Amino acid sequence: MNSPHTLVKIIEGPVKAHHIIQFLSHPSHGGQTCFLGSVRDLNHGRQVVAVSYECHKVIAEKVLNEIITEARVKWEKNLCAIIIHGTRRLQVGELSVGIGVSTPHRDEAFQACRYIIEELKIRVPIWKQEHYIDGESEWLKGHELCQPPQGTALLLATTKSKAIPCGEDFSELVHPKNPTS
Amino acid sequence: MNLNRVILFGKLKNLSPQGFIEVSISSEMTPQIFREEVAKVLSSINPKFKGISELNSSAVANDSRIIFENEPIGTSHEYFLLPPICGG
Repeated sequence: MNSPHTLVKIIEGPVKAHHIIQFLSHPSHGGQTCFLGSVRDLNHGRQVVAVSYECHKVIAEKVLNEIITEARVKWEKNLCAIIIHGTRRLQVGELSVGIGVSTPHRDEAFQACRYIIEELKIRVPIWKQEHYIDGESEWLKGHELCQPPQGTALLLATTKSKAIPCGEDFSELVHPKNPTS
Repeated sequence: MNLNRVILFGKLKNLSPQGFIEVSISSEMTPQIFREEVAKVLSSINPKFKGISELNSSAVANDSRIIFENEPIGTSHEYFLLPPICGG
């Protein structure tokens, strides 16, 4: 059996779909899934002509590799995955992100691919600025990356508390008044 | 205290024409103190900057990772201020 392989890349310009497909070939894997994300022409009623992407490359690639490792633990230790994310100004219809996953069976491939794109959306330092037909541009609002104090991650994960913004007082989470069992 | 470069991302780039600022930084600072120091510099260079509230949703990173809110930012070649993300 071939060993599982991984490719994570932040590139300048759009993603090419065939790069994702070509990567997904493994003799023991019968299921391959892909997610391709592209720039669309309308957002919240505004006509979009292009989107500029920028990222913190070092942290982005590190977090993407972590996400793949998590997918291997959750679904299939021999999972193969490729993630390519484009940066700079992309036109409507161009691919901003491509994710491909292969596993022995299809169910794990579908689930892992979905997991990777959803985690990317909330953990990977990538920003996008929409450019509109009227000449205006706007950075889109998104998900905060602030890391709660060490030791509170499990507590946050097991309570239904709202997201904690950066700069808030975390003392109640570190030493909760009413700890849950 | 050393003068370090702080790289701004996303909407924060609008606050500085160069996309970065120079800030006096101590490795012992927590992210919140770091944000306060950044806010002081931005207030001095950009009259449109509204204050620390513009930075409170931004994470602080060093060369390799995002800093936990209760730990010192440590030494780094550069520091990074990361506003809320929306990739994909």
